[in-house]
Amino acid sequence: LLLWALSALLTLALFCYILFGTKRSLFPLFAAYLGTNLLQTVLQLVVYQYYGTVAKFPYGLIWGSQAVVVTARALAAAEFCRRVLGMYRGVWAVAWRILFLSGLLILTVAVYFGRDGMRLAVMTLDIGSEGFVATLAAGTFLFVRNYDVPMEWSEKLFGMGLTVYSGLKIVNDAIVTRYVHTYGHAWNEIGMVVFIGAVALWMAAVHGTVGARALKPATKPDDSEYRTLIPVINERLWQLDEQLSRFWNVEQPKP
Amino acid sequence: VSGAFFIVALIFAMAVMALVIWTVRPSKGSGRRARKSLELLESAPRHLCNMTSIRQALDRNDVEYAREKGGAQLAKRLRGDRRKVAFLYLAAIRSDFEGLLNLARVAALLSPEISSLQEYDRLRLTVIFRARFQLVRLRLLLGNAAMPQFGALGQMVTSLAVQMETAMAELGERAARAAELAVQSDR
Repeated sequence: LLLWALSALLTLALFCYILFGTKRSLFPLFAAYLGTNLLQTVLQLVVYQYYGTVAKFPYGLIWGSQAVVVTARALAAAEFCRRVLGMYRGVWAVAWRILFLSGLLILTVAVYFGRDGMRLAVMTLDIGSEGFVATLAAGTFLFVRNYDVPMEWSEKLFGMGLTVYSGLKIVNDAIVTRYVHTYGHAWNEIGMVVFIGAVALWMAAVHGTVGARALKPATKPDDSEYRTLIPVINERLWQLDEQLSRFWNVEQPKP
Repeated sequence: VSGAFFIVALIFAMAVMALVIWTVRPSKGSGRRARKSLELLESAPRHLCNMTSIRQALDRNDVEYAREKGGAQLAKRLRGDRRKVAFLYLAAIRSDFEGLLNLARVAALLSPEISSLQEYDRLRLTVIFRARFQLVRLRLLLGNAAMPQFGALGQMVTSLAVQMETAMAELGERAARAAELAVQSDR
């Protein structure tokens, strides 16, 4: 109960910090996620108070609300991706499609191969959804690394919070689906500890965010250099690949 | 759930977390990579200087000749050296490829508007190139030392350097013109 109260209080504090602070416009979807999370907490309080924890109705309702919460977090992850990569339009155009498709693939695979009865199906759906969020966040870091995109520490902390939380939630859920009888009691506590850790990271990230990024990187005035250089580079890359291909297919030279 | 699903889920979770920790650490090599990319333009002519001797070293007739005149031992040593040359040349192709990729990344980041088609194209090519590179490397490791058209390869590297040099010079001229125009408009 203490952990539950602590996590709810921290979430509320972060929600208020964003909502009533100067950074409201920077994290609209993330604030919506925190709000959804708080609403779910209230729903849990009311439903469990009224129906108890054993009835079927609260089980379905709470897990149904979990779908809304995870969807809100996926949107917050998308907001993070856009915040980091959005100003580089071409990179963003490639990144969001690849990340979205990869995340969808992970979700589909998890749901398809993890289906195992109604009770655990909810859990595997949760694993799949967390996989979707983790793919979005971790994939953003990969694009950042690949293109050497400058990233503030607060953004790194924010992304780490999303990825590590989703990753640990997958581990926690996977263990409980496998060892439901022995791990069932610890699952909830561990889940809350992980959430508290993630909220702490997000707090540091939101606090450390200095302001909105410039809409466009302060570099060249137009894109003519890119349009001149990139086709040439790509053409030469294809030729290098062609050479490698010949290397592969070459016949033994005749003596 | 099945044991396989359980294990795959755990591996996936660990992998994404490890990936983030790996990507978050400061990149030591970005400055070095940029310098290496520019060195690509200067190093290519050196490939050309060495091309004649590389081609000579890779000639199969040479190995046969060495076997006839110097015996199997010498031919074996020659074949070993020949493989080493092939590996070095492969490494040179890869180095050129990576250098060009770095230039392309820098260009992509410096331009506010970039073409997603070009980015897709390069991403696809990078995946194909890396897979093919590993296959060729594996083939050489397994002992198939069939030698490719190294001459064409060398010419290609040289022409690559020339074209990149032209493109970079053009960029320099444009930047100078832009700076000039900016100064004039300030006046």
